[in-house]
Amino acid sequence: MKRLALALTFIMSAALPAQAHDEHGGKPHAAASGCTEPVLACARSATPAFGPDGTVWIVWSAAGRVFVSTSHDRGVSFAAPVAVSEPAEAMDDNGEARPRLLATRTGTLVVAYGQRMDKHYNGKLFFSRSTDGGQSFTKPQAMLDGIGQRFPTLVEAPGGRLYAAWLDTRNQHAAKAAGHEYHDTGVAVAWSDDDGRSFSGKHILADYACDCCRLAVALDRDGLPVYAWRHVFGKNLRDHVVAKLSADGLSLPLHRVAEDDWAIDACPMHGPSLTVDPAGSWHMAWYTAGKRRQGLFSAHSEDGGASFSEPQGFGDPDRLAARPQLLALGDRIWRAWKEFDGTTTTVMAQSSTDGGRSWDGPAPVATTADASDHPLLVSDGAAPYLSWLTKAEGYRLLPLSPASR
Amino acid sequence: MMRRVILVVLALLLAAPARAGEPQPFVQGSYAALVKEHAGRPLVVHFWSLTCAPCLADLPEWPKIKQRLGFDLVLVSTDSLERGPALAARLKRAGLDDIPSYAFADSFTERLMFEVARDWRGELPRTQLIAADGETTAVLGSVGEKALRDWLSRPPHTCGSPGCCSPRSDQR
Repeated sequence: MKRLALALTFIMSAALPAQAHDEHGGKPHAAASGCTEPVLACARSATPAFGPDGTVWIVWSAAGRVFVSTSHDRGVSFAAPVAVSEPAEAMDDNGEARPRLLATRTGTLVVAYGQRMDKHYNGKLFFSRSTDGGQSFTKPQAMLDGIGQRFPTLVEAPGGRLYAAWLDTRNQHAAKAAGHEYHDTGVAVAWSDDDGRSFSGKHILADYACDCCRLAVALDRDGLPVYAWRHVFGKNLRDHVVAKLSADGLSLPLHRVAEDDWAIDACPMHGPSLTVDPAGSWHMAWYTAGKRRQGLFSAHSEDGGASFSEPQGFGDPDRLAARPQLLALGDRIWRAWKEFDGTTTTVMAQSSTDGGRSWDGPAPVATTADASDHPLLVSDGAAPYLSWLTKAEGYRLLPLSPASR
Repeated sequence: MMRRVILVVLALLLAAPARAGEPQPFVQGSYAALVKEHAGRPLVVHFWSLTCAPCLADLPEWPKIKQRLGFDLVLVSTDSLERGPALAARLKRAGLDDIPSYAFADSFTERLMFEVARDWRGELPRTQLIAADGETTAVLGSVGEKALRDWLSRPPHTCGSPGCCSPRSDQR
C-alpha cells in the first residue's frame, strides 16, 4: 500500500507542474512585492520621531534589517541610512507592526523592533540605542529571553523615564504547557531610568488582548503612560480598552471604551489610536465592525477612562475608511485616516478646537495610487505633521493646517 | 483501507489544478480569474496569514472538511510571495500541500483586497463562499463544517447560517 501511495504521489508531482504552468502562463506581469534592497523604497513602513532640536528621524526596515535615517530639513531630504540590526530572515513589519524610534531629551536614540523567529514565525523584541547622533547603534539586545512579543511602543516621560510596552504571549505558552486554552495575549510594560541602556519591569500587567492589533500609547498629564488596545471580552468580543499604568508600574487597570459588540474569531489587524490633550482628556479612535456600530469612531474621557463620550463616527465607510490616528497639540485635536476608492488611497484629516465635540473639514492631505503605509500623526511640539510612506512618492512629512468648515 | 487511500489520492489528483508546494502569485485579476475558472461549482477561497493565530488554528481543519463535503478549495495567503517557503511549510504541516495555493504578489494589498470584496479592510481569516450560480457570501473568522454544509445545501439566494454575511452579496 505504501508503495502504491508513493507511486501515485510521484505521478502527481510529475504531472501537476505542467498543468499549473498551462493555467497560469508563468510569471505575473503585475508589480511584484519582491523588493529586497536595503533601501527606503523597499520598506513597508516608516515611523518618525522628532529630536529635541527639531531633527527628524525615521526608522524603517528593508531586506530584513532595521535602518534609521535623519533629516535636517523637516523630511525634505534624508542622510544616508544607518543600519541598526544585522540581516534577519523576516522582520515583524506589516504596517500594523513596525519598528519604533524615540529621540530622548538627551539626544539619545532608542529603537525597538520585532523580528520573526524560528519555523513558527514567532515574534521577538529587540532594542538598540545610539548616543552619537545616529552614526552608530549598539548591538541589539533581546528585551526578553523567550519569544512571542509583538507591537512595541516607546515613550519618554517628563522625568526622563522611558516606557516600553508590547504584546506578550508568555502566558499563552504557560497556559498551553498547563493544558489550558488561551489564544490571546498579554500587555507587558518595562521602563528604563538610564536613557534606554537597560529596561526593568517587563511584567505582563494585563491579559486577553487581541494578539494581532497594535498597542497605542500616550502620556497622561502626570507623566504616566496610558495604553489602549483591542481587548478580547469573553470568548471573542473584540472591543477596546484603555489602561493607565499605576505609579509603581505594577498594575494596569482596564476601562472599556465602548460596547461595539464585535464578536469575531478573527484578527482585525487594526489597532486604535490614543492621545491626551492639555486639559487631561483622553481621546481614543478605533475601527470596529461590531453589532452596535461599524466603521471608524472616536470618543473621549474626562475622568481618566472611567467613562467615555458617545462614540462619534468619522470617515467614509463606502471608501473603506481605516487606520485612524489622533494627535492633541495645543488647543487642537487632530485626526487622520486612510480612504480607498479602488484606485486611489487618500489620507483625510480634520481638527477640533472644542475637545473633540465638533470637527472642521475633513480635507484630503495626500493621495497615492499604489501601496502605502498607515498614515501617522506626529509633532515637534509646535506644529502637527502627517507622516506617510508611499511606494510611488516615497516618504512624505506634510504639515497640517486647519480645514475650512 | 487501501482502496480509500487510492480514492483519496486520485481525488486529490483531480482536484488540484495548481502545483503543490510553493504558492502561486496572487495579483490584480487573480480573484476574478479564479471565480471564472470555477464557475458552475461551489468554490471556497480562504484567505489566511502566517501572522494570524486563528488562521493557523483553522488550517488543519480544511483538508478534513473538504474531504467530507467536497468543494473546490483555494487558499490565498495575504503574506508576501517572498515568504513562499515558510507558507509552503505551514501548508504542508496542515495537510494542505495539495490544495491550490496563492500568496499576495503585489504590495498594493488594498487593491487586491478591494477586488475580492469592497468591505474588506484586512481582517483574517476571511473566506469567500462562491456558489455555483456565482452568489457570494463572506465569512470573517472560523467558518466551521456546519456553516459550510448549510451553505452547500441551501437553495440559491438564501443564507441562514450563523456568521454568514448574506443576504447582502459582496459583489456590489
